[in-house]
Order: sequence, then structure tokens, then C-alpha cells
Amino acid sequence: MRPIPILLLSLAWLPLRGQTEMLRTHLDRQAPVAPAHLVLLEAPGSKALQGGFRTLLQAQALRGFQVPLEGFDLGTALGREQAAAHRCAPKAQWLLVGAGGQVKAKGIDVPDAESFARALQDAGFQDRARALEAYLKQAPESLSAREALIAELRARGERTAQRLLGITVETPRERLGRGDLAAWRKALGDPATADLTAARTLEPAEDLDAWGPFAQALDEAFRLGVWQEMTFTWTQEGRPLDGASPTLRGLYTRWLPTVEAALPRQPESESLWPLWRWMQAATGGSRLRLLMARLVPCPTSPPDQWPPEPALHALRATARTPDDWRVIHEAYRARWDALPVPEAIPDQPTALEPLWEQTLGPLLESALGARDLGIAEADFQEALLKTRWASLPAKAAALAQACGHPSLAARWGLVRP
Amino acid sequence: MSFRRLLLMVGILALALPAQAQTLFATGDARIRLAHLLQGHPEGVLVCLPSATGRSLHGGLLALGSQEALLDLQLDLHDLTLTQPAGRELLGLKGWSPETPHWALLGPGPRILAEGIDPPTAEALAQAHRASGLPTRVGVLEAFLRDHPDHDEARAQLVLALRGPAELRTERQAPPPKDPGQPQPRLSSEADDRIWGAYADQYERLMTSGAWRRTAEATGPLPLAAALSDAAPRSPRLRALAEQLLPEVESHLRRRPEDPRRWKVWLSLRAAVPGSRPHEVLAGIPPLPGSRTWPPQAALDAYVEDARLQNDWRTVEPMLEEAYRQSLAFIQAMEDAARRDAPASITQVDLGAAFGFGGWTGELALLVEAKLRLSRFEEADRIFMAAYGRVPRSKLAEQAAMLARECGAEALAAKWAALAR
Repeated sequence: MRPIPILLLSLAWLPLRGQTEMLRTHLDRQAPVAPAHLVLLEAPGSKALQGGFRTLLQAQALRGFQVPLEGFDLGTALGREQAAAHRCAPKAQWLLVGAGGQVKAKGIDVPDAESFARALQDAGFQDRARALEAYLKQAPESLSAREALIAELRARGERTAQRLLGITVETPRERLGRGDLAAWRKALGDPATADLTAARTLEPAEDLDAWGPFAQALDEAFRLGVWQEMTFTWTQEGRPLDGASPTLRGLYTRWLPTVEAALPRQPESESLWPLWRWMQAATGGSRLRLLMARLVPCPTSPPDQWPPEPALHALRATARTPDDWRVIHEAYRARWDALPVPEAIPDQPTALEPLWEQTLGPLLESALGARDLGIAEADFQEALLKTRWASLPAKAAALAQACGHPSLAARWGLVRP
Repeated sequence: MSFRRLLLMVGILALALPAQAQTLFATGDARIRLAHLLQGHPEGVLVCLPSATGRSLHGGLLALGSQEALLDLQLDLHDLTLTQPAGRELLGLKGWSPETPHWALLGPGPRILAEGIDPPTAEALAQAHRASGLPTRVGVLEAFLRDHPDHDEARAQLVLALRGPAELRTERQAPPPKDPGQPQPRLSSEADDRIWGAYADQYERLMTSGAWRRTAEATGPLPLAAALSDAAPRSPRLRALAEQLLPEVESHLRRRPEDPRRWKVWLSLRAAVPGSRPHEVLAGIPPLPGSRTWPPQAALDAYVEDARLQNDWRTVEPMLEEAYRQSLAFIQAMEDAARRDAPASITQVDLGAAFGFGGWTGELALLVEAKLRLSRFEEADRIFMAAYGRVPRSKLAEQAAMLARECGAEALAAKWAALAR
């Protein structure tokens, strides 16, 4: 059997759907090392063990353990190879396999939480948060430990909050991992937004359970004044569930002024703004216009970088009046003018999607929001002339319809580049 | 990464390059207009256009940028052509004839503020710039900082703008010795103050304000500016500054040893003055629970550099072995994942050279070098042959043979070179 040309596939993995395992493996490369992993040998066509263990690992007794888990279908050659490699019969079972390949524990049915917790500890797992807390007691000056603890508690908080709220909010990485590039790009553009309209607010006991430890750790980082020396990857890769937590909203309300006070020193910071936007999205605060008035970009920075993306997203999310939208239009107009605009490539209709999502769509949206229809028309015609993008009329028409301008939508929909 | 973020990164990195006239080729990019070239350049830019017969002023203009009179201007130079919209736009600005080549000093508008059909002298171009009313890059930033003294990003940009010309002047006044084993020459006190005084002041302010720590960005002006110039060993003033800052930088490095930017800053200071070795900096710090490696991967560069300086690879060898082991484990994991992704009918996959596997990558090359420097020739051969067996490329064998020759392992060099033929 000829090997498939993985070279080509691996180089092309982004545009191709379905190449998710390689992508996930690549993205997980830097995850903390686990002393063992779960190998789930499933009956042909079944995912029963995977479902059972995913539920099990959410139990209170197991929340502190991050156990990598892989399912193999015994109906496939790979599944049968796994069974042979671990010297077990090719029947549905679970194996806890250590780093050296030795089977530390196994079973046919999903075990209970307490006995599995014992098996994990015997295999070398530790509750990482507890271990980091102990580390910090010995070395309170360690920023690495403090940052890792906050990240660990954040991950746990997200898992618990999702379970309690009965919702699933994907991270950008998960969207990419399942090949949904459009959703990934949207999440990357503004990681802080999530549609939580269907979610309720957590009850006090639930809130404490999900977010208490994380809130305490983050609060301490702010109180000690070391927050700005840390990297909070969850502000760009996390699940934006914070709006459903009164604890987190209170925490962010308290510390948002501190983050805003740091911005004048680094107004183009690619780490401060995502943190600001994360906190602002959860609290719904809209002091952005006051904040922007205090910020001055460096005179040698390219003008199309101002205002930064998270600020623009916040402006759009909180715009209420035509004047608000005019400010936004001014910002996007500067970006549009500063951008070398590519022409559409005939056989790649989606090539200009990022341009639409990041600049052109918001430009038209803001003109429509400001009710400056003449400006919207001029922007549309200019964009059409520059890009010759066949998809532009339909996209612009859909936008105009969504913004409540049906006659404009009808006119744009009939235009041909 | 968005195009705009990429532009910003390229723009910031361009500031960190030596301050010779930089040629930014717009050739083939049909989207660039003159206004784009001016973005982020209040000091203006130089542009040139060849004649219709192809006669160009580019070479002459490029040589100008490194002359003393123009060093502080650090003007970017763009070599345009008439096939580009930007080139045609330039031709049309003043109705130039295409029969002769042209150069121009371009300012906001865009407007042509000085021009000619023969390359100017450096002094004439500097005078033209002064007469144009355009500010210098350093002047713009200094004026801005007088009004906004706490603006960390602007101060970082100023540090970078001052560094380039100072490095070039140091190369001329105190060129490094041909033999790297010889000590670095030192600038005289007067030259040192003149060349490095402004940079040293700004760098010190950046570091003592703590701005260098208060950023999570890997690129951008702050992390770039926080690294002390690599000309520091030749400047008594910068050496004294490095000595003053080193203890505090080490203290902050110990608080976050997984941070590669802190290691870069530390390395830049250590290059200027003697101090602790990496394992001494990390002495007494236990690994974080769940760490993949210890010392952390971020420290690896520091350990390798230290090994080279001290010619002692014993401490770094096990780190390099672990890094390589993890790299091989990753390849295996990717192969397993590829098999899971492949259609059921496919049972064999071949990653080939995807993701840099099979290339003379950092981990492989460094591990082989460590083995060679420690005279562990059999181990070096075993590691190389296993990598070559995975992807038998001539380039791999050539590069490995070159390394073996450098390390004095002639027999291995010959063996590996034979594989390249």
C-alpha cells in the first residue's frame, strides 16, 4: 500500500477539513507532560467508553487531574494494533498507560471516581493546582508558578462552569482543531465574545465552586502588582464564560481601572488589550471613549494599527448611537485607506474573507449604523472597484439587510463586479 | 496572523536592523502605493526609479546610507519600477521623464521634497533633508517623549532608533578583531560618550522603569529594545551599565525562568560583562510541577551560548539530549495522528520533511555538535545516521560534514560528506 503524501497534506492542513488529529497533536505540543494516558479500546463503531470517561473526569474527585485520553476503534487496523501493542485481547476496555508504555491500570467498565483517582495517583498524577500552591508557599516570588496556577484554575473553572450551565463554548483552538476555519477566524478576531444569551447566571454556590479559586488567584496577582509580568493565554484562547459569573464580574470591575491605567504606557500592547477586552466584555462596561481619549499611539507606528483590534471590537459591541458608529467608521476608514487592498483571485472566492471580516465588513456596518447611507454607498462602490470581488455584493447586501436597510440590500444584491 | 500584524512586525524588526540605508523591495507587489511606504516614517523615505532603459541609481543611493552624514537619518530606500503602481505614481507626481533615472526624498502627501537624476552626496542629501522641514526619527520620538515621558513603547522605539547608528559608528572606530579569541577593542572615553551616550541614557531609563518586564509580547519594540546592543563589549559606558543592571535582571529571570525574553536580556548583558553561568542563575530553583523539561526550554539558548564561550558542553549535553528526544517523540505522535487522519484503506504514512523533520534542525545540529565537542564521536555518528536514515538528504549530510570539520572530527566529516555525493 503506498504511503499517502503526508508532506502535501501536512503543508495543506489548514485549508483541508478532516485533518484534525495532526492539527490537535501539533497544537498540544506544549501542554504539561502527563505521567500516563488513557487508551480506550472501543467496540467497533462505539464511543461508549469515551463518553463515560469524559463524564467521569468531571467528577469533583477527579477535577484536579488532566488525563490525556485517546479512543481507538477495534474495528480498524489502528485499533487492533493498539490492543496488540499493549498485549491485551481485542475487546472493549480501558488502559491507563504510563510514560514508558506499561499498563498501570485497566478495566472493562468505567470505574467510579474515587477508585480512579487512586489509580491516577498511583500512576504518578498529581493535582497540579495543589502542587503549584505548595510550590508558591515555598517560593512566593515565583511568577512562573503563579501564572501556571492561574492558568490551571482557569481551565478547571471553565470545565466546571460549562457543566453547571449546561452549555459548551469552544475555544479558538478547538474550532481550528475540527477544521472550522471561519469560526476559528471569528473567534481569533474577538476571543472575548460568546453568545451567552441562552446561559443563566451562576448561583452563588455554583459560582464559588466554578470560579472561586481562579478569582482568588487572579485577585492576588493584581494585589501584588505582578499581573502585567504574566501571560494570560486564556484571554486569547479561553472560553468566554465570565459574563455568567457574578464573582468574575465583580473582580473585573474592581481591577479594570488598573488595566486601563497601564494602557497609556503601552497603548498598542498586544497583551494588555486582550486582557482589557476580556474584562470589559464580561462586565459590559463602556468607558472606552474616555479611555481612548487618554491614549496616544507612538508617532512612528503605522496608522492602520490604531485603534487596536480589541478596542475596535469593544467599540462595535457597545455602539448605541449614530455618533458612536461615526467614530468607528473613522477608525475603519483609516485602516481601509492604509491597507494595500488585494484584488480578488477568480478561482479562490474565499481569499478575501479575512479582509471582509477584519476591515471591509465593519467599514460598511459602521456607515450603516451611523445612518450615513451615502457614505456606505461610496464605500461599497470603492471596495467593489478595488477588489473586483464577486462575493462582495451578496455579502454587502446581507449586511445591509441585517442593519435594517432592505432597499439598499436589494440594490447591492443586484450589482455585478 | 493578520496582514496588518505582519506589517507591524516587519516594521518593528526593520528598526532593529543596522542603520544602513535599507532597501525594501516593492517589486511584484501590485498593491503598494507611495502612501503605504510612508506609513510609520515621519522622517520621510528615499525612493528611486530606473530609466526606461534600466539604468538605476539604486546602488549609489544604497552606498550613501552608511556614510556619516546620513547615519542619523536612517532613511529607508525603496527601489521602485515602472511596472508597479507606486512607480507610476512617482513618475506622475512631478511629470518625470522616463528617459533618465530619478531619486526623490518623499514626505507626507505624498510630496517630493528633494530630487535628482544623479545620486547626491551624503552631505547634500542630509542638507536637503534639513531644508525639507522633515523631522528625524529620533527627533520625533524625543519630542513625543517630552510630552509623554511614561510612554514605554515610544521609549523602546527611541532606544532602537539610537542603537543602529551607534553600532555602525562603533564598527568603524573599534572594529572587532579578526580572531574571535582576541579581546574586544574599547572605544575611547570621548568617542564612547559621543557614540553611546544618548542610547545609554534611554536604555537605562527603559530598564530601570521596569518596562522591559511589563510585556507579554514576544516581538515588538519593547522586547527588542530590552536586549542590550551586541556592541556593548566595546563601550565602557555600556559595560558599566550592564554591570549595574545584571543583578536585578538575574533576580527577575529567576522569578520567571520559562520566559525566553528574560533570557535574551540576560544574555545581552552577560555578553558585555562577566557574571554567573546559566546553571548558577537557576541554582536552587526547583522545576515547576508538571514541567516537561528542566532547566526550561527557554534557557537552552543561554546554556548553548555559555557552552560555546566556555568551551564546556557537559552541562548542556543532557538538555540537548532531552530536547532531541522530545522532538523525536513529537514526530512519532504526528505519525500516529496522521494515520488516524488518513482514510481507513491507508495504513502507512510518511511525514517526509514536513514540519522541518529530517532537516538540520536546531535540536539535531546542537546535539551532534555537543557530542563532537565532547569527543563522543560514536554517539554523534549514531545520532546523525539515525536522522539521515529517516530522511536521506544530501543537504543534511553536507551540513553535518561541515560541522564535523569545524569540530576537528575529520574522519566523521569524510564519512558524512560521502553520503552527500
